[in-house]
Amino acid sequence: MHDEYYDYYDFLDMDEREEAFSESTKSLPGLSDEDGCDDAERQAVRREFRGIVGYGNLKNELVQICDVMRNRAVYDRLDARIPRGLFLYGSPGVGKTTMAEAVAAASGRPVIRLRRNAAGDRFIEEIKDAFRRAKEQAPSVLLMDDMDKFADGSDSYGTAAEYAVIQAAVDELEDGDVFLIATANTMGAIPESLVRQGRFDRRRRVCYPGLSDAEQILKKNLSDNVKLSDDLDMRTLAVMTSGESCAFIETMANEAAIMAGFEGSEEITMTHFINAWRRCRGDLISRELSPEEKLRTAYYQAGKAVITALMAPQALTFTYAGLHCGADDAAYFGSMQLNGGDDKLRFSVMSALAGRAAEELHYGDFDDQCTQDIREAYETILDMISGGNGDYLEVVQAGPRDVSSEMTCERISDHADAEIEEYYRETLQLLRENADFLDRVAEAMMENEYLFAEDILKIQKETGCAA
Amino acid sequence: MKKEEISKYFDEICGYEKEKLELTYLADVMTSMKEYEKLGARLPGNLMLAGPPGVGKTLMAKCLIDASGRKSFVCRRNDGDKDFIEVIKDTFRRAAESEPSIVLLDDMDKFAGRFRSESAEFAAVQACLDDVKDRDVFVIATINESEGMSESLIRPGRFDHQMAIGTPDEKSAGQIIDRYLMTRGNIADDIDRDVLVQLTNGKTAVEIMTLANEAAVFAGYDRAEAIHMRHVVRAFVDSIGNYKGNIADESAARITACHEAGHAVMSELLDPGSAAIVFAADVMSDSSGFMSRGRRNKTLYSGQFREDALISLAGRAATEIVTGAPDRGSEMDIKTAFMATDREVRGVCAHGLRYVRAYRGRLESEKRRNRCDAAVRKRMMEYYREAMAILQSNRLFLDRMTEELCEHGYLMQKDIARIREEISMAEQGETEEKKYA
Repeated sequence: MHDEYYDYYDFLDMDEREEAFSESTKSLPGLSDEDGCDDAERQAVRREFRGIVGYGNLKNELVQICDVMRNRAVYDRLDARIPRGLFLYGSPGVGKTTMAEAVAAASGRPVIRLRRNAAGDRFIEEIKDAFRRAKEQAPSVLLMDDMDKFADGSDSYGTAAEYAVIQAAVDELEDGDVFLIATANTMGAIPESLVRQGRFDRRRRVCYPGLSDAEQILKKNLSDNVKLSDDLDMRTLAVMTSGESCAFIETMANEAAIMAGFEGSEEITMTHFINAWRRCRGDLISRELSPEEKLRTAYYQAGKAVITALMAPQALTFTYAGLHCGADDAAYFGSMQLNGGDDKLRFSVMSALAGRAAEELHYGDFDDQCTQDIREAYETILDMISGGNGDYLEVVQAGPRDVSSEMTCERISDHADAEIEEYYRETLQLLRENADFLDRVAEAMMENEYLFAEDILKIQKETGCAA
Repeated sequence: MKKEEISKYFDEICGYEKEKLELTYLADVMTSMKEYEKLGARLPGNLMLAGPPGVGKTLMAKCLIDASGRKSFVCRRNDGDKDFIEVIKDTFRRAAESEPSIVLLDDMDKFAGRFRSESAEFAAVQACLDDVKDRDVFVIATINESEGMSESLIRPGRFDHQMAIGTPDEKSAGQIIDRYLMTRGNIADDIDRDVLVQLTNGKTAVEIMTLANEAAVFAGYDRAEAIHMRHVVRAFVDSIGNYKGNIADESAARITACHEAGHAVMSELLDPGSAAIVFAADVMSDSSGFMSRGRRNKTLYSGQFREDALISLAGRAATEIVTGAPDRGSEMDIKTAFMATDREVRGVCAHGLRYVRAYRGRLESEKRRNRCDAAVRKRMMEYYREAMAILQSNRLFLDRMTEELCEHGYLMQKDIARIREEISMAEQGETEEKKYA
């Protein structure tokens, strides 16, 4: 249903959306699946990575590392040593550990795992012991899971004994054939010296899944012999999970199956999925909104949807008005990230302010769901000005804090205050000109709670509000 | 097991229908996994219950354990435990040995000595969760606040279900009152269930249960035949502060009554029916008397901040009107009013977006800080003057409220509404008299 739809509205460039969101699926030259060297050995390695769906580029790189470990003869000829260490970092739930385990398994080496499950000296002993065992069993793989949790927050980072011990142990390994893999949520917690090249040659960020990755993960998590209802559209579901982790998507797929089971249904429907999505976001038990609050939230979300439809239709995904986000901090407005460009700032500020503007137009006042929005808009403007963009070259901020004078700060503040008021006026104006569109979207949201990009654009077309 | 049978296990939980349904559903998955496997579903990963103390999180966890019929292993931090990390690991090990089982991590946010996400204890819990991932072990954790917990520990995959348990809503509170108060031996006629529901706004289930019991104790000590409203009120006062008796000094008692009457009058004028109880006696260490607002399912729209500020300031304003000088000891009121005004000016930016509070102070100039600060203060002073003006034009209402408060010590919503009605009748009569004169 989506593909037909995008053909219909030709301004929605599918490639553009894909590109903006799913860089991870593109392959580097020489590392693609069709690299002409698909022998049995390579296939054996690839088999270990079957559990990882999507992430083509990163996966191929991991396959390469395993290849270096397994086919020493090939690489010895070229004097290539095994890269020292692999460091995977990224948000919780994106599959770092799964990838690390796959590399460990595919390397064909014995694996020593190190996780923090003790404190103080005992854990330091465990670290030393793990390195000792890894050395004894060399060639081996030492997997340090959640390395950013290895030290307490009490030590200022960089000086924690745990990291000093690891660093010393890594250096002692120099000539031992132990491949190090570490995972962490952030690099910030770990001393730079520990994760520098030479200790960890390859540092890779594991991102949130892109659209087509998300689609593949969903498909994989729905068992083949389960009946899916006809109204199920994988692309829409993938869009709903934009910006969520793989673990979220897996959990959502499982919850949908369970919801169907609890109802005694034979097949899994879109409703099951939407409720599973809500459950994963923890809002199935939230307070029921009164009709008045619901309408307010609908207008708030409609404002954002209308501004997005008018200014950046390719960024529209999905809007949901079931929750009052001031009180519960979770009403949902998905929009895909945009590529840079002149209008990006304008759009991000105006779409942030659009909720409040829509409420002001309809009610003459606003509730506290807009507090966060205004702050975010102001921060964006501050960043723009202090970055020296546009007309603000003169007041650029660079170097250490406290470097700029009170006078420069004053000018920045004055500019920012004027900018945010101006953007708000523009947002109000744009919404006023498209009041019909706004009302219709809010109305539709009162009926459905959920609106997808195509619903919003259909309303736009009916009301004749052009971009 | 049938769903109806499962839901019986949750009967002990009063109210909280949506939450109970969620728990029933988890219990059903655990007891009839085969049905779900047909749809390709696995056991959902782990449940986290978050909420303030006393809302019944542990009770919910226990009901779920009973309903699942699984063996359970409870892990709580006792200060006696020398090596708590070993205790955690041991709990998970024993649970894994006797799968299918449930691990209950009670008050998990207290596992780490201080509230830190990077502590060894949380790292150990995370490692243990991952270790039992492929075993048939379901983990329930209860916490007071998810803030400060590491995001990686509470993400989906580790805790698929996260339920925020709040204080009971109107319906749940009603059911709790029905079960724990209305069924007690003798209930006097003057006890009104609706009034009690209003009164218990923001109280947890445990607090409501304690209130009911304390009321019964007071009635017994009184040698009363039945529990009367005055016993409930007495117990309610104790739950807020510490009842020390009436204020000995008559003029001080009058000032207290006047102050509280100011709050109540403003509350009744701006939002009729919102003042649940107003009380004037020596209660708290730093001030005497209080006014408690009832349940209002209202959203915070921008006018609400003004309302909150006016009601908070009305106590001081009333005293100033009547005695000519503002009273001491209303610091808390004034702080509340200032916060409400601040949210209006710098949060939702009702008077211009240029007053928004920035996240990072470093780019904010001294001048802007001064300007924004001045805007909030000016606004609050305006509200104070407005509060004075409103009370002055309702002086009769204020005086009558003060009188009755002095006389009875406390007034409930119904009394306040009655007084207001009487005043407006009298005023109407007066204008008519004038017309004919």
